[in-house]
Amino acid sequence: MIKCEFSKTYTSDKRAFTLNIQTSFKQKAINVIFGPSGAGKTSLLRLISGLDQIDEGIVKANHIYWENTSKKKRTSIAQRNIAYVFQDYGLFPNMTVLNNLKFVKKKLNQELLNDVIATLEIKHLLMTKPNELSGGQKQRVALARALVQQPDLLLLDEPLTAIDEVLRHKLQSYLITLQKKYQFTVIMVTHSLQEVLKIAHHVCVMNHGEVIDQGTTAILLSKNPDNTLKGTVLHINQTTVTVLVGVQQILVNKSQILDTDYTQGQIIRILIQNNLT
Amino acid sequence: MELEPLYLTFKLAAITTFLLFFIAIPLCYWLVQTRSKFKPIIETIVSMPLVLPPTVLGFYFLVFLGPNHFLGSWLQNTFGIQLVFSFTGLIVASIIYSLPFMVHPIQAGLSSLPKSYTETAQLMGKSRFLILSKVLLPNIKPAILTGIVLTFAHTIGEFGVVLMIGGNIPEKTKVASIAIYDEVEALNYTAANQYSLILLGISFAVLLSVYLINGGYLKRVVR
Repeated sequence: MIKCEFSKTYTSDKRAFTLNIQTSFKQKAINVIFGPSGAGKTSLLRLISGLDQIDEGIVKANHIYWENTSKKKRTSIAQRNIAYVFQDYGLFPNMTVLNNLKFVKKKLNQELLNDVIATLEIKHLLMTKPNELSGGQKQRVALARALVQQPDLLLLDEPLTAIDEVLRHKLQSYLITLQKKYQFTVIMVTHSLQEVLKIAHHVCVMNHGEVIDQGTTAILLSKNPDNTLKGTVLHINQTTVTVLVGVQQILVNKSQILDTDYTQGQIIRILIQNNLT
Repeated sequence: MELEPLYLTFKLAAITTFLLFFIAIPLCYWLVQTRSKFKPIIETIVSMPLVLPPTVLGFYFLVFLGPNHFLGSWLQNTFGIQLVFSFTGLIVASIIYSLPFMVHPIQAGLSSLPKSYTETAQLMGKSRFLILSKVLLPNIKPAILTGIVLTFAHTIGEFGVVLMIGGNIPEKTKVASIAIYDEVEALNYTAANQYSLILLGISFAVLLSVYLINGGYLKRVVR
């Protein structure tokens, strides 16, 4: 478990913004921080990673204090073994895709490298430089580079926002597959409810610098009878259907929204967000 | 026309540029990364030669590095280094006088890079040296080239500082810009013209290359 109990005030010329965080994230699971823009989601990721320092409190992972201000204890950024995919991906333009991957570690796990390259379908891009890649390709490469680091914790800052819906669904599936296989912990920031519904094992809802709710997606939705996640304006229509015949996919307006096998007689619940973002 | 002043000029420019590059890189990295309250003071000191008359700088070099001052006599007695009226003194003066021409382009280049490059590498556990040498510097090649070219060109054109601290000693501190002044005083316009033409041609070529870099041409070539 990654336990966060801290406060941090960011001050700039124009305003001060305070985060008061009391939350925890599940190990070896996909945790999603969800909330509107300006809620403090990215700041929370930066504070967990150690790129920014908390003012007061603790960050604790696997019984090790990454931050403990009362004991003036701090684990260095490098020792935390965190991989971070930034919104701008942070790929080094002077290196080819392959060299970006090789730069991560002196001795890369070759089996993992090959697996990641195959799963994320980037083999044909290895000799290309990042400036020549499309947005979706950059995202795959950034994710690959983060994974070959074999991190204990993978932080993803809205990595899937700038790409089209079809590609986004595909990348979400990649992430689910790889997380299941390698069992690392993911904390991902998003303001897309669709992303929460599809990939989150554990959700942390933020607004105004605070965690206002947390739990599994189902629990959060059932707690709120109007089918909204607290503090957000994204409404969901919920409906329960019984599968009459076996289906492999469900399409809404030509978009595939479910892609698992469903068998006859199975009862499934469909959540339809009014405004997919 | 003697070739010695030209040789001294290019030797001074090359050594100054070389040393200044290695001084400027860590200084620029610190200026870009730091949140220290001393940053504006350091930046002001770096930029002083841009606005200060060269004679002012030369005068203080002469005073502080001369044998009558503590610093000058200490350097001479301890290390046997005499900075006034010597080529070594010219190098020290040139490094300080040309500091902003190397620091400003490189600092601007480093500032223009996304923070995520440094932070990604930090999270990978890379050292500062590795981050700088493998990630940051290769991505600001045009800025580095601009700094090198401007420093070289500026050192070639030095006059006031060189005259104040180096004097006019043939084969020691008499660089081309001083040779031109000498030849004009001796009414030897042909020699003055030859020196001037060479400096004019080199300055033009050097500055043209800077504008080509800024226009993006060399940027593509370098990458």
